[in-house]
Amino acid sequence: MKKLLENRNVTGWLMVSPLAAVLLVFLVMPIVLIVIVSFWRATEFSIIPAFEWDNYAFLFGSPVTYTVFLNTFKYAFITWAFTLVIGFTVAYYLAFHIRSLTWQIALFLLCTIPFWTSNIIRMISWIPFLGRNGIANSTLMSWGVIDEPVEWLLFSDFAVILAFVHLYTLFMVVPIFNTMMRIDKSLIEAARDAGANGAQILWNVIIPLTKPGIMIGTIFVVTLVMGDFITVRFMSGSQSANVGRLISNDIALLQYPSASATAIVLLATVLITIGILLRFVDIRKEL
Amino acid sequence: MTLIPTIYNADTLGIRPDLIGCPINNWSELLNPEFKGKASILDISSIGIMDMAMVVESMGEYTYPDKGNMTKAEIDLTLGIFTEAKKNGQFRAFWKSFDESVNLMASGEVVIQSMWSPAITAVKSQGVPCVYQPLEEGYRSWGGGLGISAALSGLELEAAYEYINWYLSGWVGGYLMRQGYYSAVPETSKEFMSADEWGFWYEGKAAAGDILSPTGAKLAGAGEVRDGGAFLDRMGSVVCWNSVMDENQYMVRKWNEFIAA
Repeated sequence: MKKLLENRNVTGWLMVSPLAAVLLVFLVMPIVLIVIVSFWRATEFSIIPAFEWDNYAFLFGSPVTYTVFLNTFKYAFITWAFTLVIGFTVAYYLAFHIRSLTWQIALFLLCTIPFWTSNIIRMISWIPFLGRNGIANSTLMSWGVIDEPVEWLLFSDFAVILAFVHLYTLFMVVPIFNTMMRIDKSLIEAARDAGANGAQILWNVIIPLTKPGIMIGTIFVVTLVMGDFITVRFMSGSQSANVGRLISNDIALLQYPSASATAIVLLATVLITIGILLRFVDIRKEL
Repeated sequence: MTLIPTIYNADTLGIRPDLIGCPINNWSELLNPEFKGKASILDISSIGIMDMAMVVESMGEYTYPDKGNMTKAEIDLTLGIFTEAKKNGQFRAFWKSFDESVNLMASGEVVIQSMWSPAITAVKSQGVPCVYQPLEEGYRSWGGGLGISAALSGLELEAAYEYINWYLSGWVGGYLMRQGYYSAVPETSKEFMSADEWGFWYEGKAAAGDILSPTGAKLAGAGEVRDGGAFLDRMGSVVCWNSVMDENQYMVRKWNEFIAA
């Protein structure tokens, strides 16, 4: 028995087994179950075990699916672009322009304060702010900038993207900041000694070294945006849809098989996207 | 599945009379271009499709033999008209839960929308004028009830019936009626409402004093009459009932297309 426990392989497996068990029961099995249910048939109020491709056939045959997936990708891409620019700028400022470590940590914690409130509250609080009689419009009108309330501030794509960027920029700041802190300062000194100006240092030294951080941030933001249907629903006033809405509509009407089929297609899409992204950067170096 | 009915009501459109200058008499006003960007409809497929049918028939586009059980072609027609209106920007937003409808109406984002009775009382209790407008074409009605699982027997079954008996014995009915619903057994609810409240909510008489919501907020003052009038006036003008249609799955899919458009 002692010999067995001393065997490095066995010890290794034993140490990993609690996490493996949790992942197996709470991650792998539910996904397997969803895959199985996606082949079942449904009536108005019950689901019947069967094996038919109907749900997938309908999904791939309906133009709504493609419109909605395109919409989801659109939101993900635009949010990614904005959060990248804002996140990179904030992380750069924090990492390279703040001298003392104490201030860096303090300011970094300051960035995370909004997260002490619930995500949904932070998203919903945009609604009274941007509404027709809301604070933004009232202020603009009292300053004389506009005569009538601006309609597209709320219940539009603008509102959706605004809420997404507000909610998820921090997920870009953190990995990029993390990577930037690990850049050896002497590399920047060397570049300056070699005659590079600020922009050249940024483009040739800092950005290539920050790529793993950018990639991690991208994965976070894209995955979150593709799954978040509540933000899209509230900020667009239920007028826009993304894939999550299709699934939640189906579930609300007890059509579990077609909801499962949509969920599997979404999962596959996100995995493919992440797979493609990981080809560009080797993250293992970071971890 | 069988239910014992407990509650029902006649639904119509809710409006902000202070933000709309002219009288509203028809369902077709929901798609009136004058209210572009200020209308809303509810995002629940089984109820929304019926409201849509009322609007389409009111516009004179089509007459439905049975709004509660539409054919595929009728579903396509109805959703087609509304998809076009949506693309033209007629709707400000859609609502799924009743507090969203209250917020839309109270903040003035929307001036005309499908609404439910307690939403009207909630908006009024915030001090915002709001009217549950009786319309020429009539009301859409719905009913709800309690059902018992077939798996029950013995003591549990008796307990379930006890609960149903209590539910219909009046207190719940009185509470619901003071929000604007109708209890399935009005006679028992009558005992839990004051004579003035009964007169206001059920008989359509002018209120003698202040009418309060079940939570205490003032809904109507002396002399005011309930929107739509007496029970017989309102329920007597019902032209269609919510139901699950044969083409339900098709309708849900088409509804998803409408939302995604």
